[in-house]
Amino acid sequence: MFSRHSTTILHSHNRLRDSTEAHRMADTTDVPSNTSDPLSQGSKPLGEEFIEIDDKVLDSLNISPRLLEEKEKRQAIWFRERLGLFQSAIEERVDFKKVKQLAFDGIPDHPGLRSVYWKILLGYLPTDKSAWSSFLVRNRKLYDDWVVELVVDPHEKQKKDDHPLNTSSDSSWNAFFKDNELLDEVDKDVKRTLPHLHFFNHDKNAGSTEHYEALKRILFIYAKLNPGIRYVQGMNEILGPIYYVYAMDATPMFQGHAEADAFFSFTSLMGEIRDNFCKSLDKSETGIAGNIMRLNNLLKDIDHELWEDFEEKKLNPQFYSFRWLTLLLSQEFDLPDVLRLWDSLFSDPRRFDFLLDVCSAMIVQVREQLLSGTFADNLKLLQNYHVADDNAGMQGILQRAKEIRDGLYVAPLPRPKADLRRFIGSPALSRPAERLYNSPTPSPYKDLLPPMALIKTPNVTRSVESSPVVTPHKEEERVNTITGGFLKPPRPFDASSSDEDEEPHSTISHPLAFR
Amino acid sequence: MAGQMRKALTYKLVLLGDAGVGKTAIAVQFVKGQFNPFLESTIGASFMNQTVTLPDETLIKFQIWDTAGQERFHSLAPMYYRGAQAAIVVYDITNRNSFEKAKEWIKELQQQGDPNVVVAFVGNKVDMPEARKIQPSEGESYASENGLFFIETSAKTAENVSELFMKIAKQLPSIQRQKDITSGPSNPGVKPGVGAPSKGKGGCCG
Repeated sequence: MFSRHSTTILHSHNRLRDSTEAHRMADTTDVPSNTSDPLSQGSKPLGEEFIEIDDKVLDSLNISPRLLEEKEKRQAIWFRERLGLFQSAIEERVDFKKVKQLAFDGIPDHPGLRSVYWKILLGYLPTDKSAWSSFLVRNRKLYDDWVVELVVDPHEKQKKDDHPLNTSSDSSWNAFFKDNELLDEVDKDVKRTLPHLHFFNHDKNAGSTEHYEALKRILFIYAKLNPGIRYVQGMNEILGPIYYVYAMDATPMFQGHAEADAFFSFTSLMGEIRDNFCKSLDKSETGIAGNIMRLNNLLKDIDHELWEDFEEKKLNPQFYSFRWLTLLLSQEFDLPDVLRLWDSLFSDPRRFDFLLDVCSAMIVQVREQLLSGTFADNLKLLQNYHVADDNAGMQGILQRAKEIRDGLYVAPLPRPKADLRRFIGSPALSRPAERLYNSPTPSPYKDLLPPMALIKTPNVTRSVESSPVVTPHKEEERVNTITGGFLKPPRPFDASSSDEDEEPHSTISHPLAFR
Repeated sequence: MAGQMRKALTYKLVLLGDAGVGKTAIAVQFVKGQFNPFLESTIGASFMNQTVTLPDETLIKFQIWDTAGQERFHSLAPMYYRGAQAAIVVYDITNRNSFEKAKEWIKELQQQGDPNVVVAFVGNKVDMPEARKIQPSEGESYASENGLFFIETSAKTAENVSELFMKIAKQLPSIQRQKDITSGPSNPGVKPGVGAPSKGKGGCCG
């Protein structure tokens, strides 16, 4: 019974590697898309037939202009220009800075583009493009060796004096049983990774497709190579989207190697976020509790009324944000939204600080409901977060998150307390904005702000220190930018005056760009 | 008294047990009347509520904390079971390890939980009799030794799921009345039991 386990996963690894079948499983049914929007987070996984004709499709848009709305034409042109920028940033040498700037605003849905960009952003592919093919060959070989080496099957490897009841530490049977415990643990979660996605769950024997087998091997090998952290529930939720994006990539350099490539990218990403998974760091600043505290402080700075309301309702931030932060929000949104969100998170120069901005944006987007809800209402709202259509969905959240990051979000003025209500309507309180927040110059972002919003003054602005350009793997360079807020100088209003690396933006203005 | 007023009494209930035993499935079956064989694993703890009506028309509103099963999340559990008036400790009848793990949870509750907490010891997945490893008698005798009530359920077929919660509900109000006498009225803005886990902690990072 035990042997079945490990031989199965070893077996199907070879099958998967040798076959491109996996990539023909392109699932186009479960993922909603909005093809008219080039910035679309719809991320429609494009099948192979599409790869052949991607330029033709665009050309065809020009051939029959009268069939198209003017807007769609502009979008098509914009899309092509934007695509050109993305491709030129990785043409010969990878312009890492450019890559991050571009990707932050969303990677266009073009075959293989997100896949290669993520490999770069996650620090897997080197910037020297000429080194890619040898680098990939080497790494994939390494991974294959690990599969053979670590997926121990004592039936094949058994030494003469070894036997299943041998408990000595060098017994391959002993290791085998321990491995099976680990494998069971991984298996329990893998088969419920993105369970609604046909791509993973197309088999009649739900929970056991070749893609799930690949996830299982990756997590198993990661756990074996990283005994200090091993396997922790939730890692599957981090790996799932990465593997999915890679497996949908049909470009010759990457097709058929999703498993090995996803393994290295996952390992690299875990290097940055593994503290969240580490129990012994729960009480440290870098662990999950530290991150929850930072989110809570951020909320306190940007929306004191709401924060106070949470305190009164005893809504401990851990109740809603533990999963958000641990899983990079992968369980909160549909996959296309997660992919779009991760474009930004992976290209965030302040490594995962933007995640805190996004989380607080999610909260303030529904602040009115939260303020009027009970403890139970609020918790249910936040634990089952629905992207509201009237807030432009994920795009609305990201826009709000950028405002928060840039110190431009201002919460509506607190609702008057009972004893102040009688003053409402009196001239003294009718225009609180001018009285309380006398801004010296009009903000260029005036139109971006929500109706109730006001220009922010320094003493209510969350400060964001200018942070160094942080490479993905230098943990010590991560700067805690959200300390105390109130005492630090504010960030300038004019985003263009700040460090470019902190303000990744596209150089092309797009009709649907963040409004 | 409460029954006559038709006002719901709110109780905090926590689900504990090893990963994959069906804690979330039980809660979802109870709250939504649905079963999905592949629910995403629970990270941290998720919150649900559901109201039941006792034969004497008392309304019992359960605030259910469904916790994560894996060892890594063990250290978070106290903030969910502290202040809980009811606990459901679940094991999978097809998995010996999960039974042992359930016993550990019982011990922990006995040592650290509220002394008046109503504890149900639950063997789940009775829809898989061919894979059964833990006989009902084994669960039953452990439960009676420890003063718990025992029930076997199937979140898949809904067998005994509402019975489980009804049984818990029937045991609750008398305990709560005792408490009201000793601790006086609770903060009107906060439902009983809800505020307890975060009390004096200033969030999670204290």
